[in-house]
Amino acid sequence: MPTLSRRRLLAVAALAAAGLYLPARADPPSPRLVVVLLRGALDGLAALPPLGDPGWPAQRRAGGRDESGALLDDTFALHPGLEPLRPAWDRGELLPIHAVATPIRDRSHFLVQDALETGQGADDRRTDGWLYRGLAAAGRLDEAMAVGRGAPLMLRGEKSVSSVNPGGDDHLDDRRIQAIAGLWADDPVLGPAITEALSARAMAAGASAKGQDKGAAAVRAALAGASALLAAEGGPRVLSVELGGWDTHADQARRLNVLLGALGDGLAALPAQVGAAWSQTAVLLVTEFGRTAAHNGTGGTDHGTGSAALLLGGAVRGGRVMADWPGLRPNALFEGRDLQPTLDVRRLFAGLLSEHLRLPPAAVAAALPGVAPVEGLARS
Amino acid sequence: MSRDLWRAAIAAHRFGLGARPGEQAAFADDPRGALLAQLDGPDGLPALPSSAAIARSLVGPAGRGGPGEKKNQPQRDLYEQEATARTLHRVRSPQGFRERWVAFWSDHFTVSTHNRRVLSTAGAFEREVVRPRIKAPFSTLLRASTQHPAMLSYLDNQSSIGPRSRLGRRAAGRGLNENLAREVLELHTLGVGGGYSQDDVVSLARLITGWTVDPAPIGEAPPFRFNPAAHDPGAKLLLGRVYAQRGVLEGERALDDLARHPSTAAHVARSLAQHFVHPEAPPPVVERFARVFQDTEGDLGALAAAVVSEEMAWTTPLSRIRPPDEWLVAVGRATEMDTWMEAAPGGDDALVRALRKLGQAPWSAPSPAGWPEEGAAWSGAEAMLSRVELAERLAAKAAKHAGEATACAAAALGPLLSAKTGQAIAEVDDRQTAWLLLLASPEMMRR
Repeated sequence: MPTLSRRRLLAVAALAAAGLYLPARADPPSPRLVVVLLRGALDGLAALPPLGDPGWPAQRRAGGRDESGALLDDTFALHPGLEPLRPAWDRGELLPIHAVATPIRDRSHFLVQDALETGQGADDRRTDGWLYRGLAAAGRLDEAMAVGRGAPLMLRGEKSVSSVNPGGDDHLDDRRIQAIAGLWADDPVLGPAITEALSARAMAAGASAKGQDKGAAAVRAALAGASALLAAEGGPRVLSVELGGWDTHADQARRLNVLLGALGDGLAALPAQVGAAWSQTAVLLVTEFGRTAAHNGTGGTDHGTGSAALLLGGAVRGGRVMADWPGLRPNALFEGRDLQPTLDVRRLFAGLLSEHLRLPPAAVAAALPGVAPVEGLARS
Repeated sequence: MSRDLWRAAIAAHRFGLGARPGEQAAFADDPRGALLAQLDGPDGLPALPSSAAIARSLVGPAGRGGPGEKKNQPQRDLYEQEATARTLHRVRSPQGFRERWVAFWSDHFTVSTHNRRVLSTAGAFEREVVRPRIKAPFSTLLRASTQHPAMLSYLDNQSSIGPRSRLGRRAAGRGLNENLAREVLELHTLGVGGGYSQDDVVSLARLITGWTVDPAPIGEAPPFRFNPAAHDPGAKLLLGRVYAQRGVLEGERALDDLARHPSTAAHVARSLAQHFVHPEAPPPVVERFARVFQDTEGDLGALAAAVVSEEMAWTTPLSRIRPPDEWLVAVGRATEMDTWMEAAPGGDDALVRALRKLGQAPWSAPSPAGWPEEGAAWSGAEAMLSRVELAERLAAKAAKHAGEATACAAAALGPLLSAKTGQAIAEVDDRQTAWLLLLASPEMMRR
């Protein structure tokens, strides 16, 4: 494996940030791994609805709302926004995984995101990332790069991992400014100021970017940036990507149509963008926890437990759904309200480190001590 | 809510620059005493060149900048150094009230880099005039200010020439400049409506003719020079009092008398009440402060004691919008920005850039009257939006370096944290937004 100089990585990062693609490598490419963190808790039951589960109608067809999708097998379907991934499914490159969670039973975003990224168990505390530890132990930290503003905890440790922020800008995203507007709403000084500022912004934006969704644009920019890096000769082999906006307490159907739509389009475009290296690529999408099995009272879902993950790529042994499905009957639910997780998400991490990145067993153990890898994720 | 917790929060936020983690505990027992104790001992500001050394370093070609540099580059560099050191000091210092007290007097005697001549010395003015006199008699502060090279050049006195002086009689077309004299009367001492006339302005201008900047200073004292050749001869009448011709002493005596004038006491008392107690400067408070001023001949230590003993300041809710620089400093203190900023891209000059973007870079007030006192001047829609934008950038860094927003909110705001803000911070789904909500919270915006 050729070693990558930091200078080279930075040059590649600059090109990727500028939207430029470097020619694909001619020699047989080495494995690429992309770990996408869906921050905010993706509703796995909406992304991969278990339409064939007898408990489904009672949970999700109540109140006239109907989440749906086209079936993949007898039980599971794809959210319409992810339907662009159907060709990848047909090629055997998509492996949906269901009823997944970290070993931490908590519904705090921060706590469980930390656990997802450190790879810690229910009883230990870690302050560095599992992906960092694995690569560092294998002496392959040079291969990593973060897409976004700095490296996420997953890639943080003693040394720093470089990052690139494609399509990044200093503008506030709408979700954040709405949060501020909510906090300021009743304030006698700040309330009127933010109302006025927002209406001025809306007027200015109205002419140019009508209907643009900041969250969806961020998804597209991040995935396009990642694919450019994967395709680049001498580019990084291991990438982290962070995508936010999945905390759908309200207005879930509309939000997920937009966000999963952008995600589906962006993921479906990867094979062509990545080119020859696609056959050696695996993209894993994970989230901190799932959401309540039933809708809440505001057209959304609240913090839950088990969720879904997606594994996609030319190197993935897909075309099947991986799930030890617990079902949605009320007595099968975790604490009577959430999908019961049946797979420790860290076992997916360990499986990819050992089978796909082919890290030595000692490095896999350094990353995720005591975690048994799931076998058969990668084509070999 | 416990009364002690509340008073500790008031000490840190109304009188100080916001709390660093753990700082409110320092105010738990005796908040007034702890505030006043901050005025004693060294302030810990790193050493920077004196105005005399600055003057020497800029003599000749060195003051004009190298090839390819902007004309003012050496002066700009000095300014950046001062501004960065000051801002960082305000973030770091355990003496938040002391820094507010310094800033108050620095603003009372504004020199502004809007006049590019003081770019290199505005910081030195604060260090040489204000910082050594935070417990001194007002008259010494007034004299040091009026004789400092930054003030003399900011308000043009260094080029003011007595019409009947030796220079004045020779140099046709040059003469008196009333600028400094007017601002001494209107802003530094008596105040608008303080009972002076245009004749008094002219008289004071004549009294301080020849007060100019020493172009080739020796030693470290601020380079003041009395030039007898520019001093207007003869006796002058100021506010009904005759000042016989006594060179530099006649101007100094005039300033001492202005410092003792009841209008000065009332004017300073009103500013203090407005700044530290209530924007409407309640008359009983103003009267109390004015009486202290008169009883002690304007002793700043006694005034500080009166300010922190004003019960109204401890009971009025924190309702005023912090000016941008105090907000940024409060954010910096809450997040201990000084401990992680160097790890963040941009390093510490990012603070001054941020202040510039918010419209309040150090020593850049729009006029000799200083920064606007009322919060409304700072809380327009665009101004608040640029705070939110800056808060978001800082939130991205804080999320990496400063731990949890919920813990910081409790430590920095204590009893001031509202249930609404606390809940919003705890419930939001990503760290950066949690930090944004804290840094831009209504509580963080106020003092």
